[in-house]
Amino acid sequence: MKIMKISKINKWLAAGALLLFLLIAGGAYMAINSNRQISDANASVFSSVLTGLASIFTSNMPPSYFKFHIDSRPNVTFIFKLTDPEKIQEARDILAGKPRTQWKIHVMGTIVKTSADYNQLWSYHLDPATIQFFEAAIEVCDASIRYVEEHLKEVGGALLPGNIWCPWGSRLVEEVRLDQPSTVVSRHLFYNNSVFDGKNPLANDNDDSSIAPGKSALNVRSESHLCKLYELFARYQWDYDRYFQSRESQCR
Amino acid sequence: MIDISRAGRVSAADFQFKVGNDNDSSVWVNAPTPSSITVRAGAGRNYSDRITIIWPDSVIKKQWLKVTVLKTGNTNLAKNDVFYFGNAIGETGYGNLPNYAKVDLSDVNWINQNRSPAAGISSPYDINRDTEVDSADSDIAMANRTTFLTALKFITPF
Repeated sequence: MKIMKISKINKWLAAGALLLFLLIAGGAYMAINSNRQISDANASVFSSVLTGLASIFTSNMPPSYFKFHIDSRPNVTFIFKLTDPEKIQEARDILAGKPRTQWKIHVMGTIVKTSADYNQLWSYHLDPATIQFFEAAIEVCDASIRYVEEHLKEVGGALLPGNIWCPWGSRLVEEVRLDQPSTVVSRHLFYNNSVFDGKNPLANDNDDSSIAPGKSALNVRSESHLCKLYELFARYQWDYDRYFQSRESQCR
Repeated sequence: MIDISRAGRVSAADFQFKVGNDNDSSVWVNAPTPSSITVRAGAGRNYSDRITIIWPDSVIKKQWLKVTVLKTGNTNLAKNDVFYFGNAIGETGYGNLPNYAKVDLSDVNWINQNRSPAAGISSPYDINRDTEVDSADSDIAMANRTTFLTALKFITPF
């Protein structure tokens, strides 16, 4: 692993040094020829070499990952990968609220009908090389994230011809850091198969409406249920001191 | 429900479920197997992925459920996450002892005194969550009365 890391660093250093050398050499060449008119051919060759080198240099840049949702279904998200540094910066600009073109904020690309390790919850992903941001697109390439999942076999035929997908209301919500571990954001109890989830025993979006608002999980650090009970007991002036005195400070 | 910032296709193998009713959770027994574990991408708080775990009705009652979300390639956690939920059917918050959530006649009485045709989701008296506080709720509390021997304990797990 260590050897691989060193080798990678060396590759970067070598590419950087070469690029720097060419820039200096190019500068010198320009200076020497400042009194002469540089032929278009020479300038073009120099420019091509620089462009080629730049692309070699940037091809080693790590990819970035972004998550989007569709405005009409904000509680469903999809992760895609970008490898082009220009596109990565464009995505970051959009997230920062500074898109390069005011309305060019929606995501489109070509669907690949396999799951990707960074987007495991869906059976398909977007080909990173085809992803771009758009303002408006034709209706034939519009579909929701779940609809595509449920009709994946039809994609490329009557549904989303050419596998091109352009969800109209798609909007970036965050950059995803795969190099960092995930965290438990929250824990809930909900009343399954109750009036509040439409008497539906299955796990689905309706369950979100049946989350018990006043109930929280006990974990060793939070002791939230004890704090809650402390408040309840205090309200009714019960003799709670014996059990709760030691915890009182933790609840405030 | 558990919201994880970035979850994969989790299954029962990514969790450990125990049930018990005392502080020493190391001696608790395995919980019944959930009937379903479902992940919805982006359905959780702050665009996190929401995992919904469902057990059949009444298989875990009058005790604590300990959930350990394991550090796996599907949860992507840096370490195991442990939390607990307690169940005390008919408990309204009244008539408890310092160390127990005891369900007794005081709960039944409070339910009867707070009858309502339109109870909200946070009502402590609508035991069956049908949006009505009526005799069905007091009947449930009555049928699930506990003593200090059988009541849910206020635990400090270790």
